[in-house]
Amino acid sequence: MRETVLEVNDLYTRFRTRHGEVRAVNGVSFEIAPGETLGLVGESGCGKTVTALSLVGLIDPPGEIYSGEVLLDEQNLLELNRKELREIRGKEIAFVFQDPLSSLNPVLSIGTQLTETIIAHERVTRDAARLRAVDLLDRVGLPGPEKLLHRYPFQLSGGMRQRVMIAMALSLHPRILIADEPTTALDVTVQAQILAEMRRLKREFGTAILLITHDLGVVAELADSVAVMYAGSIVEMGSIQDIFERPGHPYTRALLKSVPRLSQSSTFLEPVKGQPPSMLNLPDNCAFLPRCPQAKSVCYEGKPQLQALGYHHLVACYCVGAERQEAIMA
Amino acid sequence: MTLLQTEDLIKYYTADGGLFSRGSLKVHAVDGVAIKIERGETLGLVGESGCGKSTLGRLLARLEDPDAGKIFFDSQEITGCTGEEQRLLRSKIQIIFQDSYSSLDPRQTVGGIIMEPLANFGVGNRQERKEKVAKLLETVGLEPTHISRYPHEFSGGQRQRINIARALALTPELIICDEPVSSLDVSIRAQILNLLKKLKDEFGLAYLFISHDLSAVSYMADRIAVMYLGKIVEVLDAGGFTSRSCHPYSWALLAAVPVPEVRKGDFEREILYGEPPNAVNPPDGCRFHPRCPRVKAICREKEPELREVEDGHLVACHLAGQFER
Repeated sequence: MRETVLEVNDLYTRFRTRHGEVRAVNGVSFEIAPGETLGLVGESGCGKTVTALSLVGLIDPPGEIYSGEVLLDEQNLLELNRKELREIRGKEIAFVFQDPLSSLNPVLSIGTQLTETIIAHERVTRDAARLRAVDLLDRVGLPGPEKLLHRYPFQLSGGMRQRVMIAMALSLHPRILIADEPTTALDVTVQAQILAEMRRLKREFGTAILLITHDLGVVAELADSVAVMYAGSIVEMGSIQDIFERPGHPYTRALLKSVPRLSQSSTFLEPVKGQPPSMLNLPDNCAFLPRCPQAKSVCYEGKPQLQALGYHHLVACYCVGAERQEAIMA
Repeated sequence: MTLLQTEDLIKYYTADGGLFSRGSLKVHAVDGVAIKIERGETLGLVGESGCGKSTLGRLLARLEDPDAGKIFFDSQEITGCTGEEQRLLRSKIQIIFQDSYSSLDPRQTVGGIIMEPLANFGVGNRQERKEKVAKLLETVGLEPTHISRYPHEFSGGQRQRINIARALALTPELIICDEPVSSLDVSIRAQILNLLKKLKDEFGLAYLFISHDLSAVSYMADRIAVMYLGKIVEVLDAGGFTSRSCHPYSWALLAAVPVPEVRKGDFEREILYGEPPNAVNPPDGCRFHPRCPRVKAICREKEPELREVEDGHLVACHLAGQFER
């Protein structure tokens, strides 16, 4: 068994709406090792963010986590009360969201927000917290950190705000950083800066990261392993080599083929046909079936479970195993 | 043959300096742009947000009036055209926006939306227009039964198809695509890019394809123009962009694209530091010099001209060709 900081087992989250039950997360399991970055990829509405929010009990009614466990040091986070969860959030598990402006308090200075976070969780003096804030801002690559403490979020650019968010998330040395589309709102050049910064911080702090993104390029830049989500379930999981060089699931393959690349020679892309299913009425069989180019009769019969395709490489597809068999026979 | 050409196009916006400030600020959105789009050609326009790409698109679509400079369409000057002349121009130049929802009237059916331009220009009678709409829906990959539905009943990708159908209704010669796929999901994005590419071949369209996504632009475009702070800094054919581009900003953009591939070994590529400067006070000399890793004294003093370094390859950099990547 490899060492893990976080283990998620069979997580189910649903939302009861007046249109019916939205089954957002359906039996998601994964684990993150210390210092590992796991990329959770998928298209909008596939349940990536709900999965992340479920881990730390940030699901409000009509949402509900109805089964599963989230283990942090053998402790099931789903059984904790609000107060205990508050202790965990920020201290053990920190968040960076897509939109830094709405995650920062507009009427408090950067310095106040950073020191408050530190003081709320640790017994330190305000001065000590301030010193640490300066150090953190410096470490995420922000120039003139002392001056920055007196600035307000609206005075900073998008890239600077996101750096402040990262500094704040790292301020308590969390063991897990959940980064939900951390660079999606930024320009490409600024995105490259933030990604480089995150790679450096990952080495420096050794924090495990759950990176949520729809951008396969960002995953390839930062992650060690990848979980591909489709319609609330993980359909494939493996190292970045597994996913990018020998993808098993037809959805993963289709996604990779549908992204335009700089060095493209083909005249047309191969898009995935159709659209993702509605989470209101998911089929009982494979959710990707209506869009799958390789659908066979067996696919109509049940929902495929994740199966080992290689060392730590899991795929939920009936056809992949069979295909492998054929390849071996031939 | 040249379809559209601009000469030294300038557009400044005045920004309010704030409650207590005197006077106002001038935002140099488009600052002396000369571009050319050939018939049936896709010109890709890339740059960071705020560099003026959308403003340029709006100027070409005649949604804004330039402060100075000229626009020629089909060898006719269209810069100050008004009234009937401008109305007729609308049938030749169309525009597709990023936000597929806000560009469709929520209270009109899809049929109504696509039929409106046809009715405005008196194309055919009612029955013929209806047939034309059905045909357009088919062209963009929607069902004829969708004709009586409303925009909110469609997904983002489908709505962008409706926008495309409307843009095609009057058989334009140029479509300005302003970030047409940026708000769409990965798997849908490819569908729309392919559709645009197919339509171009089918109808002999020319596109100005505006995007911040260099991989999408290089997939779509025949030529690529790079814009920085209101100026075009490099123009060359799309095929040669990765290998022959020579403006340091183009390289920075190239290096910043996250590639969905496993990188071999330890990679720390050249990263462009700093943020795009403010278009209110563009720097003296070369506008890129505060962020340029190869800056020399001349760059701070003199603004480089856009010059031809090889056939059809324009660069605005004093030092282009003098250093290795």
